[in-house]
Amino acid sequence: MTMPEQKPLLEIKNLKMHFPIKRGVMGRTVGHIKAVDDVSLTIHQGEVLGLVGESGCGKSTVSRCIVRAYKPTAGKILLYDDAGGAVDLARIPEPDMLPYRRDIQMIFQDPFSSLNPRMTLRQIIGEPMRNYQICRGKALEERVAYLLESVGLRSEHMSRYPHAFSGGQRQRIGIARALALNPRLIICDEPVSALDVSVQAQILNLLRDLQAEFRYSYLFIAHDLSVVDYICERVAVMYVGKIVETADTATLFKDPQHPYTAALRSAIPQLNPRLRQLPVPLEGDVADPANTPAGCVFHPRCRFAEDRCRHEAPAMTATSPRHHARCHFAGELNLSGLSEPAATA
Amino acid sequence: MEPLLEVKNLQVHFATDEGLIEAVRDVSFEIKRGETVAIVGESGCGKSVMARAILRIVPAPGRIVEGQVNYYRDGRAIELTALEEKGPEIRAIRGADIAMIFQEPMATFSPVHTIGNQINEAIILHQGINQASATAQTLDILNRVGMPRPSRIIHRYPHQLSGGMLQRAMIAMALSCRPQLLIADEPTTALDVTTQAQILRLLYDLQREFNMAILFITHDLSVVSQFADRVEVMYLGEVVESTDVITLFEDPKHPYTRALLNSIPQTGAGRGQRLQSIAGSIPNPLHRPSGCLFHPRCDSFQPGICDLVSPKEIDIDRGHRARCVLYDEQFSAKVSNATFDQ
Amino acid sequence: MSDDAPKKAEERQLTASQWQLIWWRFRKHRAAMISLAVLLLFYFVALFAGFFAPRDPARVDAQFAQAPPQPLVFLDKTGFHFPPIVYGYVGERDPKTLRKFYRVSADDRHQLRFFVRGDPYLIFGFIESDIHLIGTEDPQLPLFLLGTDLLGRDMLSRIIYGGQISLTVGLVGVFLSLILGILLGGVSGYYGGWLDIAIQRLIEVLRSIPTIPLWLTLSAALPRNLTQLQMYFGITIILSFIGWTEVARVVRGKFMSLRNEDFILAARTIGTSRFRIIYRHMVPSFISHLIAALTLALPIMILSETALSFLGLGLRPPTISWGTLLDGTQNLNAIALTPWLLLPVAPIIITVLAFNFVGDGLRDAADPYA
Repeated sequence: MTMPEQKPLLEIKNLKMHFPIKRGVMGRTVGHIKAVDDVSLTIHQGEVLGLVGESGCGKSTVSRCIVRAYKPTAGKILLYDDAGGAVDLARIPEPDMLPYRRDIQMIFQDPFSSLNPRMTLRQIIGEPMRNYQICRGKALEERVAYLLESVGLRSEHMSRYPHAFSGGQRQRIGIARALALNPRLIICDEPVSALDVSVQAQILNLLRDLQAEFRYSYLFIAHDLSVVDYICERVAVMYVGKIVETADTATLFKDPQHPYTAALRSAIPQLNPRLRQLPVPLEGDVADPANTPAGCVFHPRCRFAEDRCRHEAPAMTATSPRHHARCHFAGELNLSGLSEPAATA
Repeated sequence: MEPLLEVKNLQVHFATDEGLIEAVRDVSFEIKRGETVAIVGESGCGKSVMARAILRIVPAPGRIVEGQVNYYRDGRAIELTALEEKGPEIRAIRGADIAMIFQEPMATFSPVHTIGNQINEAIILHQGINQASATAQTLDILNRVGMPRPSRIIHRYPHQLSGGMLQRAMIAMALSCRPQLLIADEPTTALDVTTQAQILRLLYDLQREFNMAILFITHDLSVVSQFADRVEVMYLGEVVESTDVITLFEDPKHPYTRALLNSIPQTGAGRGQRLQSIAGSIPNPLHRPSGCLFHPRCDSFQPGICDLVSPKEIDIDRGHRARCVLYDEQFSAKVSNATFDQ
Repeated sequence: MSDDAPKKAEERQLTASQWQLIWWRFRKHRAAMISLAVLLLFYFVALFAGFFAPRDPARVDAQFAQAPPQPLVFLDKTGFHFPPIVYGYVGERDPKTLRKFYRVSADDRHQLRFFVRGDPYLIFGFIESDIHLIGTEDPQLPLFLLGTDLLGRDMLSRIIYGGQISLTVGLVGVFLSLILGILLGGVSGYYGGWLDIAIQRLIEVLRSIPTIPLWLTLSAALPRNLTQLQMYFGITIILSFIGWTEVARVVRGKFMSLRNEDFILAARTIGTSRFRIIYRHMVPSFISHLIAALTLALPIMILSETALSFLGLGLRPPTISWGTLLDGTQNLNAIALTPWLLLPVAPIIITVLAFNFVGDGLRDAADPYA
């Protein structure tokens, strides 16, 4: 499925996003929330990369750094052009972002808050093309109609406002807006988790069809591993601001190397009433990103934790060329038991 | 076995400015002692309203217009729907016999009182015991729901606890009076998968320990498969299929149930294959389709029948009912089986 | 055809803009609709005050000073009258106090006519006319439906003309508040930082000053020799001096919460300029709330003008406003002998109540997407 020679499209290097915690009238900084702490990731051209993790792990912050909703504390976000040249999105001043914004578009989780309720579909989908003076008047109208049809909506509904549409249809509108500028990278920030089950499949299929047809690159952010498994070629797992494992999707599910990935995998309830397990793969709560534990951030919940894990933060280790895990014992642990169904009481 | 709760032909209507919404229509089912019944459905199917109707806490302008809810205590039926909505009888049942937990624990707890105080108060209200023994019970129940260091937690305010902890505290409060029936309204929807696993396991263990019945309301079929004994599938206010959990997953009859099961992505299952999706979207409850409510999205739609006739609940097997004309003898001659067994 | 109608209605609903949705919701609010009609009528009458007022408000009829109201008579022993008639006055003198007073006497009848020629006036300040809605055939005959003041000027005409000032002074004040508030609140909320801190502290200081003494000081500071027009604008500026702070706070809050909305981030990712984000995405999403809030602020402005003028610190005669008209009622004697001088209170109460109802209706309808 993956091509041997892949050109990088976006390379994130040692990205840090620390939010200051301010107290008092004078707004004194008393600490930092390390929402993203030393994240490195590469998205290749035409690739669908999944970024998974539980709420508060920093996956959405990564996406918001890429579109520069936040200015990263440290690190590089390199956007490559076709010739191999790169620009660091983390450092260029806001006004200079404009030409690069059209390359990176975003699809949001909440189909209600991500569309301006006071604009018609024509205005919403036409706005990006208007901003970049791509077309206007009749040509703009035709392009909006084309985009609406290609996401499965009817072009005669162009004069309607978002309130006329259901959640799934609104998500299609958001997708049409993201496609309007022919972006090279589309960040899908939990695009189906706010939708009803019967509508989720439609949107997932649509995203997959569009990717197959136009070879878009997706950074697909999700908390639901089964959704990621369906759409992504490669997956990165995040835990408390750090990437703990990256691998090809099939490998990750079959042979996870980080105990957290294995736990996440086995926490998904199986859709089979004869395989009742109700396992509790992890005790306790996710660590507080304002006050992270010393050593490995996962050690307080890890059943394999040893003394070393409490003091020494593990580095990313390669267990095979395309498989990396941030664990001292990567490749040594037997995690298969965790992901296999066990009988319940 | 005698039922614990019986819902008969329940109808709940909301008269809004825009029109009449039939949130629950003609819903009947029963829950036996110690059994877990799951009500599963998507947004707007009326599952939460139905659960609230049992406890008589339907929010305005909702109104129970027809039907009965009977609760059996010591072999005697109490008709909950006949009680006064704000009267002492129903208040005595709420919390003591039937307790409820919600998706948002923050909404259950008052932000200005400590967790301990709030659980104590519930215990004192229903059991009429003194403060000291109530506190002892509170500590005990917090312990049982797996709360670490209960003696410290009772002095905390709700906002000081994490989502999973708060959910545990709410379960503790609900179980403090040892209810016979626990209504759980999407208790794990707002939680992460690993926390969800903890809470589901906890409910499972507590159910066995307390021998209580659970009415589990959810949109998540995978949770249903792991948790429920019986399942009622709802769509736009109606129960469309009702059966035991094994049959639901292995031999679903209603086209909606089938389509729903097929549209869920599963790990490892056919990577690279398209999901089978259900066409269209859930209709606006103000503009219900004619005939069968599901017909505009149905694969087995039979023109001339499904868009005209409201299907009845048909008994397919013992304890297996589906609301679909495919199984109605009156129409089966006209319905070609070929289309549906494809 | 019959099948088409509901579809069209539905399509109309689906393509309805924010303002249409707000209007549809507002229409359901009965009290607000009635109040809106009343207000529109008041403003219409004030706009064409010359036409609706039977007389020139400044015309002094010394021989009819402090005359009581004349009732309109449709039916009396001489039969049915349309247009109605009024009875004339008989001057008498109190035998004890020797004070002169007037009594309405049925012996003296004056037939009224519609659209009669009377005192000349200007429409919009430049079109000359002398047609009045109602009047006596001979303009010299008395017609004082709400009585006269100390100098014999017609109260009805003065109340109608007073509405021109009183109904607009608040509007102008609110408009100034809106401009100032959006500007300063927007800057505060959008840019943040030290600018925000400075503006917020300024607002806090301004709001901590007691309003009445502040107004008193400010109006005392207005030079005495201002023209009527200058005085009018002076007062509106004083009234909006406090009003803008509330608007600025609301606007700042909205800007700060909107900054984190997904659709604002979405607008940035599709390359929308800062300026366009503000005027196309942010301002439209709170302007309706603001208008509702300001409608509720209007009555306060109207009452403030009245209070200032009543105390002699706002507008001063010969400017006519509902406040200056009440100026004459400051002594108890006047109220006892000539209670009709209190009549300007009625339009004030009606206007304030109507604005409150309309504001309530607007507030309920302001967010059609909630």
